[in-house]
Amino acid sequence: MVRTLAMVGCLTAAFAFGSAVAWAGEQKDRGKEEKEHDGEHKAAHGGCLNAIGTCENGHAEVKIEGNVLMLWFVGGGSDTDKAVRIPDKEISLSVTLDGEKEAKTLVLKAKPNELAEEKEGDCSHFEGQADWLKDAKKFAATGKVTFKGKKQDLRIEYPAGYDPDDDKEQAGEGHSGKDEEKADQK
Amino acid sequence: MSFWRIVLKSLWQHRLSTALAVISIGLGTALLVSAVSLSEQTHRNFTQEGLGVDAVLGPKGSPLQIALNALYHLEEMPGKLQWTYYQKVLKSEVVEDGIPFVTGHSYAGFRVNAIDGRFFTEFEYLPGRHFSVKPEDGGQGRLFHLREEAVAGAEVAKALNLRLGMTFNPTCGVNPGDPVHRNNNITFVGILAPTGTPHDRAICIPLKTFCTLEGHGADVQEMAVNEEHREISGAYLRIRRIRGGALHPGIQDLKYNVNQSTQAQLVIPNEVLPRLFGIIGWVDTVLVGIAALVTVLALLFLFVALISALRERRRDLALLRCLGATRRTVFGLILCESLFIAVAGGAAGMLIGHGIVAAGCEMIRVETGLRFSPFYISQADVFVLPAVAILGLLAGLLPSVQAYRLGVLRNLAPIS
Repeated sequence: MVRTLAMVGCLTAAFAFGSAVAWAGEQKDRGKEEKEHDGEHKAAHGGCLNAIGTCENGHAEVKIEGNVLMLWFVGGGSDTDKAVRIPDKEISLSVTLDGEKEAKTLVLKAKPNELAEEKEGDCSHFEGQADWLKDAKKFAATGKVTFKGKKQDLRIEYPAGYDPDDDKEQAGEGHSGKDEEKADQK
Repeated sequence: MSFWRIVLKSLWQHRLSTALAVISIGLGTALLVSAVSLSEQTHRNFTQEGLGVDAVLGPKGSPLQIALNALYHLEEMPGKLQWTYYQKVLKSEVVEDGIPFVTGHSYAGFRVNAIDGRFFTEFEYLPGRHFSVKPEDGGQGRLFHLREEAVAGAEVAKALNLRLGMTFNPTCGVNPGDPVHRNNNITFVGILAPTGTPHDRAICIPLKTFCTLEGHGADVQEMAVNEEHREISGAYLRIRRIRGGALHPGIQDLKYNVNQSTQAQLVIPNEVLPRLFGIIGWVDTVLVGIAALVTVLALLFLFVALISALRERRRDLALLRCLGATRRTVFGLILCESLFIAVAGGAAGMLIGHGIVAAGCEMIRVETGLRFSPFYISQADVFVLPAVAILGLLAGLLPSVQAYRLGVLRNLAPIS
């Protein structure tokens, strides 16, 4: 009798324990996903984000489909789904493919978003076409744009994206790590 | 006499405390089951089914407000949308079709929406299901053809005791005290079959009827003939599908492009409504927590009841020992009583909980048009009985140990 009871009790306890572990695991995964999202800015078109100056200033989202390079100018910080229009009608990029020394020139033309009443000279979307883009897996590109009223350098790292904070961290000047250690010591 | 017979007789002998314990555990469990069931069904109704709409094109404003107004006939649209802009969006390669509508009127507390007639024939309120006025489906009459005709949802017809041929004048607004359009006398020509969706709680009139309602100024009336000046509240959009029935991936680009506009935005219900539950989901958690606490308190009551009953049963248990019962048998006796009470309370609670859901279902259906089921199996139905059984065993453990350690000779003496 007692043996039966003990067996029933053990089975029930095992069931409850397994359920609790599964539920806790789900909560942990959900928390982990949320944390991962908090740390990265999301590209509205699935491309790579390249900071213009600083991350808070704005971004250039770059995506390649076939032999077409598409570029969207978007907001800084977490405003990567908000378009920023620029007055330039075309942008000239100097593109260096990975493994090559010579840079190629790619001219991006304005492609206004009609649904947002954009037009040339007041446009956030640009496209350029070249046959060599079809096989481009990795490249770096530079150019100049009039962004938020100022002539600014444009630097593109495809497909990883460009964040100047990454360069500073590598040089040991970043705002993470060392500064936090000092704060802890105090 | 068998072991289980002794258990049952003992429970019967202390039937008052047994009943109280079963009722208190039952009430706590009922609260837990009903809270979880309603929470899960609410979440499913508002987030998973999408109510047959891929996207809603609306004016600039709160996406949640647009989704609630377009799909659930709640709230108000934050503005108006130009017809010419809607036509521009329709030309997108991603959009298969659109059904424009105008909201903002009401009758007897129900929303009156002016809508394109294709809403009834081409719109799927749930995947694969179209509206019907056929008697065999529970509908009546026909769809509207003329401007002064209307079709009512099933809940509207039931609440207002509508008959075909009855007329009404819509109110210009959705709040009490808003002005009424007089002398329009729109006739009910059809009653839709029940759909189990919020559309059961709406009255539909032809799109152009909005423009010609008495009292609307000349600028609104001109909208009926001049597309350049026409405005709508929004449009349901059907997005093209790719293989496997998935939405065309271009929908995100379309959403981005529309949202950069100063006058419109594209709302995807399956993205917006889960965010609502992300905000208010903690309310469900608190309710479930309270229900769980009530259940635990009920089991604590069981523990206290068993401990106090043990003192009065010492002589009975000592007698049982004299008659040949072992320590383990006495231990098992108390533990089984506790387990039995907990399981009985849990089972009763599940039944009562589903009864509460059944009562709540009717109220929710009348108020919102959403269908909830009293037979829905939630997570609580799966876990509550095993959990209550374990807690019942735990509640009975200490009294069982005390019974195990009971001295025979010392407790044979009469209590009084």
